[in-house]
Amino acid sequence: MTRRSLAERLVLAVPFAWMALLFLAPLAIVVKISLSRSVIAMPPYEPAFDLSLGWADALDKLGQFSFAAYESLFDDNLYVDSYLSSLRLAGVATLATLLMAYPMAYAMARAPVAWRPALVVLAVAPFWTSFLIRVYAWIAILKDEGLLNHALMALGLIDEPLNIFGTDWAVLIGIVYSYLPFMILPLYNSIAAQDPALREAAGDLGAGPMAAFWRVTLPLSRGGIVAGCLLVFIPAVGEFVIPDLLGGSDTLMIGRTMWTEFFDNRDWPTASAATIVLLALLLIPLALYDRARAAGTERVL
Amino acid sequence: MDPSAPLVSVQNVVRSFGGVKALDGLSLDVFRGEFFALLGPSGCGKTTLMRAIAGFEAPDGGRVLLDGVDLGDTPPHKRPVNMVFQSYALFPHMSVERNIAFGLEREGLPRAEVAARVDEMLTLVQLGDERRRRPDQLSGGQKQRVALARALAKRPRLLLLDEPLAALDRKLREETQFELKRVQRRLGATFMLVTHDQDEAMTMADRIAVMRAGRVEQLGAGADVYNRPANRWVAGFVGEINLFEAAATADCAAGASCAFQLDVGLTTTPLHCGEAVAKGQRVAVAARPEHIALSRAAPDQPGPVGAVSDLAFRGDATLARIELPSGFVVRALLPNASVGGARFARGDRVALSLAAGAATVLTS
Repeated sequence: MTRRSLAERLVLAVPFAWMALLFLAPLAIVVKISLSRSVIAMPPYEPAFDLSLGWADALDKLGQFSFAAYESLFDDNLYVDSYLSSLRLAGVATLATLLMAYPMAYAMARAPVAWRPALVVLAVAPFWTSFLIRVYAWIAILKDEGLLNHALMALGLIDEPLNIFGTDWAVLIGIVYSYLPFMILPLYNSIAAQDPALREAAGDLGAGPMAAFWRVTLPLSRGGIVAGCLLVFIPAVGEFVIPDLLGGSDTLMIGRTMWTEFFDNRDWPTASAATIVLLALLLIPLALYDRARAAGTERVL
Repeated sequence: MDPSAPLVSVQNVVRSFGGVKALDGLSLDVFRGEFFALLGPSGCGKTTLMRAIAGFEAPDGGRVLLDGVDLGDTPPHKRPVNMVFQSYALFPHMSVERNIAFGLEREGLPRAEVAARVDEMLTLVQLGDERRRRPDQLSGGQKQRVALARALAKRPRLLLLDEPLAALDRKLREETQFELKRVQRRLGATFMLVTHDQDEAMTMADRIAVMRAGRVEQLGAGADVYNRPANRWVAGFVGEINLFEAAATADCAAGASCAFQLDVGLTTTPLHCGEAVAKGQRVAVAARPEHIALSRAAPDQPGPVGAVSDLAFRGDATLARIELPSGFVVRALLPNASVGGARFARGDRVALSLAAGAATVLTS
């Protein structure tokens, strides 16, 4: 290992400082609040540290930390149900996104090389419009007197409007639509990076187009599938805007439950504890992915 | 089936890419058990021809027959032909043995049969110890052997090899050339090699098709192509050669011999003429550097005299470049063993002569 110069160390320190300041410090604050008790005060929890009171006071207050907020998560079924419902909705949405994105990414990766940059731009084109506006637009499409129902009735496919808006279906559609580019891009990269000779070799060895896809193209895009699923699943679990705007009053998602706890009930410790548990839950797929990757370099299929 | 009938018969195949003819009405036959080479510069159509035989390119016109059957639109996965790709195209997510088994499993062979053939192939290419490795854990030479084993496991009627040695270093390349020959002889299989490297083609192939611009310029054994090039282009492409502009000194029938007067001021011994030439007809006389002899020029030396402009030591021989007063440069290869050191130095004035009968008359 060569010794790094001072300038090199400074450059390397910038991302670490960034992470420490903007990720670790807020996380530490949330952890601290989750270990506090809810009170009607400003701030609405205690103990609240006041550095002007000196170290002895701070040490004394450390002793007041409790897991009461975590215990309260299990007081009723609301939180457990919210978590399960979020995981289920996000899981179904991730699967649906994968099934939609794969053919699109495949077509992009097999398109003439000259077209590909334009196709990538098209795939991310929705980002040119604000996320909120796009979700609002879905209200106009999905509501009972919306565009979709008008179109289906005009075509004679249905007699009565479908009740999609305000249900979990609308939330699913919203998540699939919003996160599709995050699935397409890693899939596209992993398919486009494959040597075209590999598919030819599969054909040469007697694999028809379907066998070549299942045996060669699909396994070789595994990295893209895993990355895309993580990029969709993780934010989808904590999604707040889509269930709030498109879902119904009975659509249970943890992001919404936390919002209610924080702003309506002003129970910061419980909301914080819910956040920490969610974070821990989301570390599980990441850890699995990491392990699979580490094993993948050793293992032979 | 008639054993003397060609295994592969390429008939008037045409393939164009955006107006450029990669294959321009090309025809050739490959026979059973033969090691056949397609030799030519890049862009001559040799790879396109091979891909047309494998089924990756559909010809615009003409036919490809295998054992007398038109392959027509048969897709690659249904052709009894296998290919060793230039990049090897090993499946990176599979072990060596899974790579070799891939094609056999697609045929639906029983497990025991697949395992037996994989073992047989691993022995053939001497990779038994590497069977559980993945391609990224192999050296270039090992990858090449896996690609060979994977293609041969299917027992193809024809094995296509697309520049199979291009990615190997020089020393390994030579070893692999002999290795491929050994495998081909042992299996009695038919190999078709695509290469731009004339040494590779000469070393391995029984017959060579020299290609240029989508056509075959010459087809024959390596020695024929080297010693009796069909025209100026083949002479220039295959090996080093001196092309002397010359005129016939007499009428000469096809197959007869006559002397030629070289423009550089030298009359040859009688040379074999493949085609009839008339007295005074302009031709090219092609002479390999090893057929040019040098002697120290006397002050009143008749014939061509030039100055040695460069000497390149090549181990067993030294290549000398001799510049004639006209500016024409002649290359002569001087064996070192018989010399015992450099006989000539740069700037020496030397007289040229041609070994008797060793030059080729080219009318085109």
